[in-house]
Amino acid sequence: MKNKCLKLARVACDMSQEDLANAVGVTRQTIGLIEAGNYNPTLNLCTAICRALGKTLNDLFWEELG
Amino acid sequence: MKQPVQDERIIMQRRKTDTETLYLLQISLGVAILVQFFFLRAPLAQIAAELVCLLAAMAYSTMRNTMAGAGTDAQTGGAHSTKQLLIKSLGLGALSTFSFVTLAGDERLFVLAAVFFSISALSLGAGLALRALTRRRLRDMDAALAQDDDA
Repeated sequence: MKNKCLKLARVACDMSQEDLANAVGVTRQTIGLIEAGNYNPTLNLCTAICRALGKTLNDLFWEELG
Repeated sequence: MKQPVQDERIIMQRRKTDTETLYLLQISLGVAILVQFFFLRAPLAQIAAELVCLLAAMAYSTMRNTMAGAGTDAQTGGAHSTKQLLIKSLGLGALSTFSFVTLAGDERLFVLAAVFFSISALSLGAGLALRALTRRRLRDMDAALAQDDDA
């Protein structure tokens, strides 16, 4: 499932995938895959992304069921 | 100087690929040994190197997993029953005896019984030892975690 919250938060911070990738120390493709829902990041990477975007884990990675 | 990117996705993918490669290599090695030994009737000396490599790889994998608390019995908390171990050991003993008869053609009862019981006993001993190691490792991990909680 696509992670639209991450994409919206990144765009709101005026960051490209490349910028975010550089900020958290991964490649642009990894950010793209996370946004596309094709890669499950580790908790460490999730928290790094949250810090870089000034969001919480709930904001970016929590999905309500149903 | 810019640090090289340590992308977890790439690292994990490389590890996964390496693991799959090693797994395929082990299977290929096993098949090669079986084909040479049973179908081409190669002498043991000819396949000794492959056999040693395969056994060493299996032993290394088993010991590493056991020492890391991830042995075959780890998910049941080391509760693999002795009955299950015994059944597996007897099965391995029967298989080994069958292979022995096929290869050596020796059908003397006491020889077959010796092969069956020695292989079964060795297998059971190894199983019990690994189970004890797994249990001990899990206990050590519990103790370390309990110490962390107390501190």
